[in-house]
Amino acid sequence: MHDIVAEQFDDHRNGRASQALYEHLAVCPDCVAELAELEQVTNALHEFRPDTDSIPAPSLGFYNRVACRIREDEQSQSWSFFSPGIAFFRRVAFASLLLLAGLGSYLVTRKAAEPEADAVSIMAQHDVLQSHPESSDRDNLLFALANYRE
Amino acid sequence: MDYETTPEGALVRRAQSGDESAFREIVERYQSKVFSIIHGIVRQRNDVEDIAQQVFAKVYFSIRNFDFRSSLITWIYKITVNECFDYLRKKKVRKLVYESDMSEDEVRRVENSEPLPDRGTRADTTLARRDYIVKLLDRVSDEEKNLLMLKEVEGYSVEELAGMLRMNENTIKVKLFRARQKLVKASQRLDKAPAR
Ligand SMILES: [Zn+2]
Repeated sequence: MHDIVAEQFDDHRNGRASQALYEHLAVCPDCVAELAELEQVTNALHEFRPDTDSIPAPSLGFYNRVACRIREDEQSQSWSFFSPGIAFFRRVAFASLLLLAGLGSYLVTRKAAEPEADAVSIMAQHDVLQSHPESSDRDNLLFALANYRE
Repeated sequence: MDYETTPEGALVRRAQSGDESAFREIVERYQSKVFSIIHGIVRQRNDVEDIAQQVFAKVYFSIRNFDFRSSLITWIYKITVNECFDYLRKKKVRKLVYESDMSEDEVRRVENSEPLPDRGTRADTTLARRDYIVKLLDRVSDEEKNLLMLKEVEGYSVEELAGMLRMNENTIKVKLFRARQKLVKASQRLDKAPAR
């Protein structure tokens, strides 16, 4: 293909090409053939032009549905191991607090137990504490965890 | 004037800093335009809203990457076109074909992107042409695809594109021409592809 076609293709499409282009085409069948192919693929793209008569309009509440979708996407992303979002880090911080609280309550109850008690009896005692009034704090924490939302 | 200092540039800055009302304003300003672009490309009325939601969710999650090198609508346009093409690819010709009741022979032809003989059902040939164009545009870069779409579908002139994309007119012409040549090559390859 000769440069003149490349340079003036868009002008040709707008009807603003120079006389020189058409003089060249009159004597260069190769450029005529290539120009035809370029026009064909260019015209094919017109298929995607909006049809102004039948464009659906956004219905009421479109923004709210977008916002819902974003929230859903954020939630699914924050559960993903590879893309921990802010919510993920907040959850980690919350879980660490729970762990500390649980450990604290365990140490307090352990102190109250026999100093020479073996592991089995400590664990047995720990189980008994499930129904002890002091364990209500832990229950509250577990309840909070179960109901936790970011 | 620098785009970043325009009122719209300020709106984008607010959205980038997490101001939800700014994001809402962007959605409300461009939702009709996005619906129109999507409908032009996919022509499936029922799926337009779903794709539009996806587009604006993408805008929300990537607005921080917007670098003010082009206008906001040019950037949203690119996201929208990519979403539409993903949709058309995912939907797969075969599914479209089942919905439109083609013969096995025609299914094979569409899959190989051969032009269909006229059988009087406009919907079928429209679907086949759409699939063919997506295949052609898959062979050019994202930048070239965006340029071609803005020029040939949205109807912007070379001068307007130069302003929108901050390039000189000659650069736009050269890029467009190279992109068109790639389309010609792609179409020659697709036309030659043997039927399976
Ligand atoms: Zn020539």
